Amino acid sequence: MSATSRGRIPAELLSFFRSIGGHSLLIKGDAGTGKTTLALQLIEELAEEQPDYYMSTRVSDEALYRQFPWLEEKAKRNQVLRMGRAFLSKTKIKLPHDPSSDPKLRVAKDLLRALGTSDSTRVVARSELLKLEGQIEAGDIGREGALIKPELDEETMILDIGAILPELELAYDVVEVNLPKKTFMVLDSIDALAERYGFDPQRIMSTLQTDLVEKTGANITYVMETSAKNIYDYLGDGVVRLCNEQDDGRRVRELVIEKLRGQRVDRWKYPFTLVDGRLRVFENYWLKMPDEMEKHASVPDPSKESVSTGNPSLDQMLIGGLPRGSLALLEIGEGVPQECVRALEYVLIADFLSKRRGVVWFPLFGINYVVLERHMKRLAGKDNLPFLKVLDKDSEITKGFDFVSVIEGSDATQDLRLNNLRYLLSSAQEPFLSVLGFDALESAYGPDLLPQVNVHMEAMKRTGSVVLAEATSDSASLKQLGHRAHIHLKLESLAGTVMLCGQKPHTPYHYLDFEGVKDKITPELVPLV
Amino acid sequence: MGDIQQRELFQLIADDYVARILSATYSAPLTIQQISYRCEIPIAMAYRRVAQLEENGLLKCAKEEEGRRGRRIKYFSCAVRSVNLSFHDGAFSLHIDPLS
Repeated sequence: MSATSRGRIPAELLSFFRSIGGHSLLIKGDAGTGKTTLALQLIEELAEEQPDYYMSTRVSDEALYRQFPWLEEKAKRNQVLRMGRAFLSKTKIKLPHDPSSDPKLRVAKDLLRALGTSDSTRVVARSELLKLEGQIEAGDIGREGALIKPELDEETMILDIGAILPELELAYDVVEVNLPKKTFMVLDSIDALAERYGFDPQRIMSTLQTDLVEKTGANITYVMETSAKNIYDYLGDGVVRLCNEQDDGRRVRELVIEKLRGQRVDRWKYPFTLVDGRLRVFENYWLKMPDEMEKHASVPDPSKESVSTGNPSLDQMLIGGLPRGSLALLEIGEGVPQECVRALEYVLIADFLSKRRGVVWFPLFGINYVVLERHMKRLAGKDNLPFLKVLDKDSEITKGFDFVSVIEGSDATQDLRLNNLRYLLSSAQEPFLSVLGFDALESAYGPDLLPQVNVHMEAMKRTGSVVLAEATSDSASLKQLGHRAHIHLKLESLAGTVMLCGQKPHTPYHYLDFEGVKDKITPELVPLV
Repeated sequence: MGDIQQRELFQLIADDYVARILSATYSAPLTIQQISYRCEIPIAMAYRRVAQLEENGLLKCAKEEEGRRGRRIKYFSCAVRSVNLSFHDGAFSLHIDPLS
């Protein structure tokens, strides 16, 4: 399984469980928020260092077994362990001195090892468990509640006679047989187990905390079926809450690290997705433009009526790229780094240039022309650079750069006149692309810019070319552009993580994964579902 | 039978768990784990109810065995043939017919 398809969980959680001593973690959240998925991925990540024990109160869950194929085998193993333990306790089998002398007993030896026999020299403290069982036997604890559905068939249950809390007793046995290695245990869910037993989850947590976590050094994760703060938050060493909210009809999932005792937590809130049934948190990836660009591989246009954005992932999100003769708006929210915007611009522009199509660019943010020239030569090829025209008012700065065109800067209707641009781009093919940074245009031409630019935009649309308007949340033109645009995309920062979403068409949030891509500027879009 | 004891018995008899326990243990003795399983009662409540029933003479310990880690395992059986609750002349009364 690849690193991406395994999902990704916060490094803080893994460090927490790897640090010295035992630790307990409470994973809380409403139904369907990914609690079990997180717990099982923790087991996977720690599998090579810490033998695991997954105790589940669920009925068999085929969807879970498909996502975690090893789980079904472990569930069967646990059931065999439980039945075997009960059987052996009833029949009181003792092994001969050398079990390898009889092949039939070798299998029994493994089972007995798994159940904790007299030949084991390491033991787990059981004082709190015995105290709890004593109180149950005395009838001192228990709460009125609904009837329960038994987990095992009666034959198996009969074999288990004498075990008051068979699931917990088996857990102790498993921890014991794994010593001196630290066992990583998951109880899913602590609420259901407590309901089955008929007393408060607090009793189970405090018993295991003392015997297994503190005295034996085991790691325990409890899954709890509620997201509300409660008294159980104080009993564990760590609390993680999985939240599922909605924002303008889009799902927003957040993993919140409420506490991790003894662990440094640099980041306490992560947006995450459950795409393909795996939990993957989105990191705050600070995009740094590579010094050396890789050549952009031209992306075929999705159809005769549309052009590619240069990013197949983005074309798919838009259900077929940018329609010819359209206005697309890229809205940039607060806290979005310029590098993210620049990466999207570069890829779109490079794709047009590589197809020998003309591009006119009035940048939203200031550009270093030396760097731009170097980057575009690598991305689109030196021979295609003449098809790019960057518009700038300052003739002194633009000297020596053939791809920069000086404009008057007093009347946008004249400066952006299509015939003028066709003259500048006479050797280029159509459709053209114009990329217009509206905040910068407003600085140059004043806030009442839209009627002037509108002439250009309408002309571009009528000739089947594409206009990409870029506007921050401060732009005076944003609202009008939002109404007029055929495509409306928005870059937003969610808890410091940059996400892209479609307003038109309406899409979920998508994470821009720059890390996993070869060229480092064409992000894979990962949906937040 | 004192008032308090009678009230406790009334409450026990009216309890759903108790009705299940007495029915389940009538034909053969059962351990508390078996009672919990067959009557679908959480184990802690099963222990509590069995203790209350034994204290009030409605259940009795039929036999004992040694279990895992030296624990004593008790089997309980229903100790009554019939329980009749009646209302007569303005008062409730409870008549319990024990099994010999």
